[in-house]
Amino acid sequence: MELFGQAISVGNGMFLLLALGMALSFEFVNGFHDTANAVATVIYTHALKPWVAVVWSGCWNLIGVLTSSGAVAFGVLALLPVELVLNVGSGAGFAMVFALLISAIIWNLGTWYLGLPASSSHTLIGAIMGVGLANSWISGSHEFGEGINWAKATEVGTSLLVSPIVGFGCSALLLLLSKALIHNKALYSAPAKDKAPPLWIRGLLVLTCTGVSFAHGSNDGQKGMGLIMLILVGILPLTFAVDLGTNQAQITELAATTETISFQMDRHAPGVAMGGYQVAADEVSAYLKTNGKATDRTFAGIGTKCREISEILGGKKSLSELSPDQRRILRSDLYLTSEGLGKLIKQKKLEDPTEQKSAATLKSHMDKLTKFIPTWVKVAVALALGLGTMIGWKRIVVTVGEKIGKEHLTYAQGASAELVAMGTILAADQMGLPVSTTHVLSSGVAGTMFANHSGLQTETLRNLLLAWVLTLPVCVILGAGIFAFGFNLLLRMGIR
Amino acid sequence: MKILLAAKLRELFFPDRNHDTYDDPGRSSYKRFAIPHTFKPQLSLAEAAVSAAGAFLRILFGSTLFAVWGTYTFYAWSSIHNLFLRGGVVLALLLLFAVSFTCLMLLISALVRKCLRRSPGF
Repeated sequence: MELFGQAISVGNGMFLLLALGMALSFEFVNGFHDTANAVATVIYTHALKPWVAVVWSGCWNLIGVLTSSGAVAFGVLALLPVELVLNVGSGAGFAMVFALLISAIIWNLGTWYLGLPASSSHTLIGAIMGVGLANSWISGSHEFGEGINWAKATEVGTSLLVSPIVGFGCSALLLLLSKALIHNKALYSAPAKDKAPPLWIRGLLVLTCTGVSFAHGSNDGQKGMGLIMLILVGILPLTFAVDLGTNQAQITELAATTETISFQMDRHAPGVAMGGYQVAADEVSAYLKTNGKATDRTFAGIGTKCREISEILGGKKSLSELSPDQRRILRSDLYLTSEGLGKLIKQKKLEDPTEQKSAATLKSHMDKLTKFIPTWVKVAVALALGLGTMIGWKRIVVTVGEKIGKEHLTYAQGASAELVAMGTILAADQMGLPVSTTHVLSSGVAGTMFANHSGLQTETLRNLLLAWVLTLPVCVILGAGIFAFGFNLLLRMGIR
Repeated sequence: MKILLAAKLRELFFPDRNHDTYDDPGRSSYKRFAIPHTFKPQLSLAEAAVSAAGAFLRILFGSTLFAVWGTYTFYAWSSIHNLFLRGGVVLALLLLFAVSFTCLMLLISALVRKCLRRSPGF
């Protein structure tokens, strides 16, 4: 059978379509879940009619995905164990992809059914950590817990503490500030049925709803794209391992730069020789693990990989001239070298500014070849997320709008909470602040209820906090369990 | 027979109509699309677990059905070179998918309803 110009077996074809179906379902459920961030306040302040708000938000989510760069998509993949990313076409790679998708879908569906706005990002990070943990346990050559990005786990822990404080505190302060500065009683009392807010508040709410929807699409929407690319590279490496649209000038430039960098790396490791390309790959893989340290051998390993890339690309006019094996090797080499150089730069191991600059330039050139997303993948993810947003929004919106406070949301409360949520997305993007927009908005509504003396529904708040705290451990257990089960099953079926 | 099928389909896509606070018979088809009728605000944990499991089964088996169907459709597409025959086979396969997908959804709905009737919170 031929698919995307590559002959594959019926079994692989089924795996591919199953994985694609599951990845799009994950995005669909993600759409159910995170809509409340954008539309809850708009609906409950009557700024827009529910169906208009939801369709509007769905469309902006869709535009967000379509205009995204793909950086977040590949950022998520960087959290996965290196050896599984490099061998995603193996049984362990398939087990990893399905474990991630299934555990994230189960937790997202469960919390959505209960109307609990939990973070989809924490869900996916938990599942990734679970897979890493199980992988380190199953493969005997690893220490237990090796390959887990503990820094990310700490970030999620920090987010659990910071998000409610930021949401609750900032929204409450903003409401108190607006009460002190704007003396319009209508803003601080429950809106009359179907009565729209004053024009400027309405404009503000619609604007923040648009911004949050767009940011969600361009950020969270990418997580599914990364997983889809991983599946495509694993099953159809001939077509998707490297960007076949790369032109001759780019190939020539990359070949020349890798050669230059290989000399620079050799200067950091005088007299160190690698016993072949595989030894170099193992050396760089070991460095990329969370506890990996840069040594002379790391520099020598990156230098050797650069030479291999230069040899593969030398004299080629197009990447289509490479054999399937060469394409696969080139992808692995580009991934390892790019991530290795990125980590060296981050850890300030390259002291010479010129060397730093050329390493960063090479990394960006390499990333262009491997970190690409075909338009049809973007369109499919955008449609799944947009449709999910339009179809499953109501449960979480009702929780945020009706079940957190004891009184109806006022115009000022809605505007304060949504402004803080919007500000958080911008801050998270610009400063790398570890916060969850979902948590900030829910806490923000609670904060405004507290500041307005409207009263809080403690049972809902208790359930919310419980779901937020439980998300990471539950998803770690789900991810680890499903990965171990799937890997074992595939081994028994003879798929390695 | 037609009425029975229509009733089953209505039940499949719009169950629990009475629970929907936004349910308004005068709504346009756009509004019906945007606001699903399946919402039930007061769920017990057991009901939520059964419903979530039902939704997960829909995704899992729906994706599996799509994978099996899609693979054999691609296979048929690449093996048949006659344009008219290819079109006819693909149309028939599309119909087969639609029927089997609907049957699968009906089956899962029936299963979920059965489990919900047994659950103590229902």
